[in-house]
Amino acid sequence: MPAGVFKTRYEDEISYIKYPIHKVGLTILILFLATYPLLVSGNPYYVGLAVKIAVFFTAAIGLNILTGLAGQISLGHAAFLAIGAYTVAYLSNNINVLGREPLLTLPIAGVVAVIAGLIIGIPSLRVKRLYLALTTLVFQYAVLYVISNPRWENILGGGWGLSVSEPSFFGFKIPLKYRDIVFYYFTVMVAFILAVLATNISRSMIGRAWKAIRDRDIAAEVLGVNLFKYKLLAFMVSAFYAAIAGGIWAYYQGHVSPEDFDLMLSIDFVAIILIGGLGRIVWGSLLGTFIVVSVPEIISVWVLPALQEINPAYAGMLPPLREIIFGVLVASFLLYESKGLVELLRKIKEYFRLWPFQY
Amino acid sequence: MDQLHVLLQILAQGVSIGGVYALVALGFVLIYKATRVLNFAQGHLVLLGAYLYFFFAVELNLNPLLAIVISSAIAAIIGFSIERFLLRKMLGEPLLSIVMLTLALTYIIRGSVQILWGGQYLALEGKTIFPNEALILGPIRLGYPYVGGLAASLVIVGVFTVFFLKTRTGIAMRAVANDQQAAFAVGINVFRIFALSWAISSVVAVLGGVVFANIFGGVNINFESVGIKVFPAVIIGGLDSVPGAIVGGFLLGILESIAKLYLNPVFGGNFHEVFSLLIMLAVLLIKPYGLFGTEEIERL
Repeated sequence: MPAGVFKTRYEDEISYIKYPIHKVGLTILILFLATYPLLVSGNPYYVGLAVKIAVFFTAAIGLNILTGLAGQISLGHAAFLAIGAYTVAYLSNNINVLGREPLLTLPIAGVVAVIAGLIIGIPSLRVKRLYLALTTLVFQYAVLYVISNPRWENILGGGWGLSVSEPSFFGFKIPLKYRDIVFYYFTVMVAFILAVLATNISRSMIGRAWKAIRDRDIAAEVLGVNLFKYKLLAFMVSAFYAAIAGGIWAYYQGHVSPEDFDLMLSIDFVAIILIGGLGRIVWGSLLGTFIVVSVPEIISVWVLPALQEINPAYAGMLPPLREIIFGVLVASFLLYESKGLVELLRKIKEYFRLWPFQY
Repeated sequence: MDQLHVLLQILAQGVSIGGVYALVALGFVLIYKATRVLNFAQGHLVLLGAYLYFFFAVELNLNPLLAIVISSAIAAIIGFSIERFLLRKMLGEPLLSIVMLTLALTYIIRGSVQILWGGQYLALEGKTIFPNEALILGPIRLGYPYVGGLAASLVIVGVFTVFFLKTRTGIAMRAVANDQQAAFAVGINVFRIFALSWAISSVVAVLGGVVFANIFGGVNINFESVGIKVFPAVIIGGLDSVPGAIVGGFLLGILESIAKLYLNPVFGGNFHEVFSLLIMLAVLLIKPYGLFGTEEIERL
């Protein structure tokens, strides 16, 4: 019996899952995801939370590809979600039967966002770093202006937003009783597929081209990477992921409004990828999403009731308290573990691997 | 009133609001020049300044001028601490992390203000510095708060111009902004200058907040929005130019009020807010260093 894992074929060497322990881990993960609604006995709150995490995770992968892999800073990610969500909302209300099929409308939303991403990506060749962040900020505000404009109220709903018709799969409507469960499986499946896709893109030639641009764009160009093409591609892929997430979120919420997609949501996504780990597109995005989505929930479910017992007047303190804790959390990650949770976990793992020795 | 009067009136108001923008942009540029940090929290320091003034002038019932002095002192301490305990540790970190740290600051400041004072509009209740009447200049009617705000902005900008041109510290700050290594070599304590830049910038932001509070006759959580408006101002003027920030501030005020009058009816909604950002985008694409900024020659 071999003492360790030895690779005898080239396919083993380049395969993504190299070790048996990872296969076991993946099996456990899939089993856990498949039985999660049973584990929480169908509790709508926990199932809803899982849907939210899956949606944010999908969108965070998009931003992590753009910022972590290709090195382009974006403060306008929420705008792509808005484009996806509004496309879905518009289609679901205006196209009779087919508009309710997520399997049809989500790709359309993705395509619309890809076109938007193409346009937003164009300045990225000329404008860099700080200035690019400001360009994407303009995009964020421009999209918010368009969707909240009273002039186009009959199409985009103005400040109040649009309602989204209930989705159906191949013509079958979802019974209200199973709505959360169906959404859970659908969202998790989409997130899983898109995460696998993102991993493979990052391992392919495209991913390596992005990394080359991130590390040193001049060197990348010398190596023959077409900067314009790959920067645009990064924006388009990122927009696609965001739009799919936005579209699913629109169906799940049943309503979209401009304030769902404000600058704070964009900042949330930047926080997710920084807390999780820049460039760690799957695990970084997942861990970051867990923290950013669940911390406010923990505050509202456990901390706030405790505060309210001391003084009922504290009830209105949830939003500001959330903001302070979020700010402190992000700041402390940046100050103490700027490479994110993935790096922190690796350090912990390394510590126990060597324990009780220092090295 | 005929068309010309309306235009003049709007222009005068634009210039006055532009004074406040110039003040906030000045603080922003001070930090960028010295430390190369893009401070997204500038608008929140303005917000904090307005609330501090409200606290000392209305809640503690102090003399308005004394309230301004105390607020400025607190602002200086806050700015100093932000640099000392947060940003100094981020030296050499990637740009995105530093931007995100200032964004985290915006969350902390806004959350704290909301917990301490709530989010709703709080009136200054007669504790304004300027009389609540209107100055009549021929065809133009302009409220004294606007005139006073403009005057205060001009005075503060003037004081800082003299400070940069004449005092030892001011010259040291310019040296650091110009070339950090050279400044270090001639014996300037660069870290002290960083801290000082943050302190001065916070004081300027807080003074901007006081002027803002006086113009609106109260304080409001929406004052933070000035932090976004300051970006067009500094980009138009040039990111690392003090005169540019001032010119940019006034230009932004004028452009915004003209857009409010003529473009909002055409495009609907609050087009003037996007308009200034679109102008910024155009400047970024055509002339990224703005009117007075240092041109960085770079391969595209």
